Amino acid sequence: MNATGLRITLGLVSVVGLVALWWLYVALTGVPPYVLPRPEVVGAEIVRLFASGSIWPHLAHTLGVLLAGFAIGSVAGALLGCVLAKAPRVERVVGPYLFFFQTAPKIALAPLFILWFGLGLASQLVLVVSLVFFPVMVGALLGMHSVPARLRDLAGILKMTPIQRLRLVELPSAVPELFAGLKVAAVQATIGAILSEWMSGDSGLGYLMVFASTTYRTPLLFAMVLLTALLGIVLYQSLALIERRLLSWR
Amino acid sequence: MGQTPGRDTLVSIENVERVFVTNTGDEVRALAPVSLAIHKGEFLSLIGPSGCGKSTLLRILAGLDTPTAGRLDWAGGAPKSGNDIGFVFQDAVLLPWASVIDNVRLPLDVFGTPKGEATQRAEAILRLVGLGDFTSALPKELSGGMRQRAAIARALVYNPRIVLMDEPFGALDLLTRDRMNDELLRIQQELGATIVFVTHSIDEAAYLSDRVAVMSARPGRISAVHEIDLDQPRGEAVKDSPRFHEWLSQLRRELR
Repeated sequence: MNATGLRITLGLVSVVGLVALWWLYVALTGVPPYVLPRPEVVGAEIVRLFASGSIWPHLAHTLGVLLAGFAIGSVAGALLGCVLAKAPRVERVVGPYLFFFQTAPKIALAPLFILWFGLGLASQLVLVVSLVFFPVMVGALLGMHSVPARLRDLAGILKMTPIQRLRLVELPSAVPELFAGLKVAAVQATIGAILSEWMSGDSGLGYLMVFASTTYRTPLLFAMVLLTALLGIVLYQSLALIERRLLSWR
Repeated sequence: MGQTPGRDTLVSIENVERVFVTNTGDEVRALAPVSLAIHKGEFLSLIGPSGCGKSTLLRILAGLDTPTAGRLDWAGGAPKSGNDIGFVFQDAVLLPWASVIDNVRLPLDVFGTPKGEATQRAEAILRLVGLGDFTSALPKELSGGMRQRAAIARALVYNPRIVLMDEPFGALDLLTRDRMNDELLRIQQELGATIVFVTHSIDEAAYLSDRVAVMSARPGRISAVHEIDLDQPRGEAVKDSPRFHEWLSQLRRELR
């Protein structure tokens, strides 16, 4: 058996094993279904959600908030990171504020965002953007600072223009740190999207979670937990795939 | 390339001085006033103990550092564009994500040379340095010596007015170093390049150079300049000649 085959087999064994343990636990302890439903009930719920099509608007909403917030937050974060790396004076002036906002728990600011931007899409986006922005900015800043001194000398000797430096030397050097930031941001963005739907709005996977828990529809709650986890994993893995492509020279 | 006094000067270094201010506010004189003329087409070595300012002098020539006092007088005006100066560092300093040919054509791409011409020139210079079969390799796939050949090709591909080399073979093993020395002489003769070569190896300096400038430390200054009157072109036979060994002992004495 080759390495890929082995990996897939082991992955399957691990999933089947976990489901078996889950099933056994419910069967042996007789825990009530509203606390922990059996795996096949949760599976049936997921199938029902997709078969009836009722999940699509919610999935689309969460995915939309997640991707839009991630895109806006990363572009803005990467841009500011580059600007700060290029202008140390600006970094010294705005650095302390950025540090404050970076360490402030954005989750705690969520109610404030709702006050400022209302109960709709705007405050949901603001929360996701605020979570994505800082890790990407820090990644871009660190990446731009990681250019070896000798490469900077080379750029100086060839009298590269600032744009040439950025395109030929600094951005390619910054890829590892930038992607480290993007991957942290992807996890944060998923949390942010779900959380913002808990607190406001009337659609999305987060909204369905709150609905399921308040109406004791535990299979639906479990289905949502699985779907959101899957969403986060897909986003993270796509980034990891792009990163591997970009860093294939390593 | 026999040296004749008074041949064309490419750049004359006039009373160049460099003072660094440390974090504690102390002044460190890296270079006392230094004067030296560099001739067109010559191979000039700077040797000296560490801390004698030879690298500082090279960085000033490259425009990477500015003198505290004194000036550089370039024949035909100070370098304005990036293609006036070639620089080879102790490490190859290649872009690790780019292939050998992309690394070598990098300067041409920066200067806006048409794509086809840039590729042709990069391929030609890679053949000259013996990397004709490795154009699409990544730097990590090459040995240290091959990486340094690529770095030399990158510095020569745009025919700079002067090539500055800062201990380019210092990180290589002795055998590779000897081979690279001969290769460098061959390439220099083929292209007629002007080379300023910083080294702390007396053998290397005596073997390669038309002239050797000996520097001493604290503050860094040039204590002697010698015309090395060994046979041209240099080769293994030169290393066995008594004159070569006389030069070695004289330079060694002066470095003490």
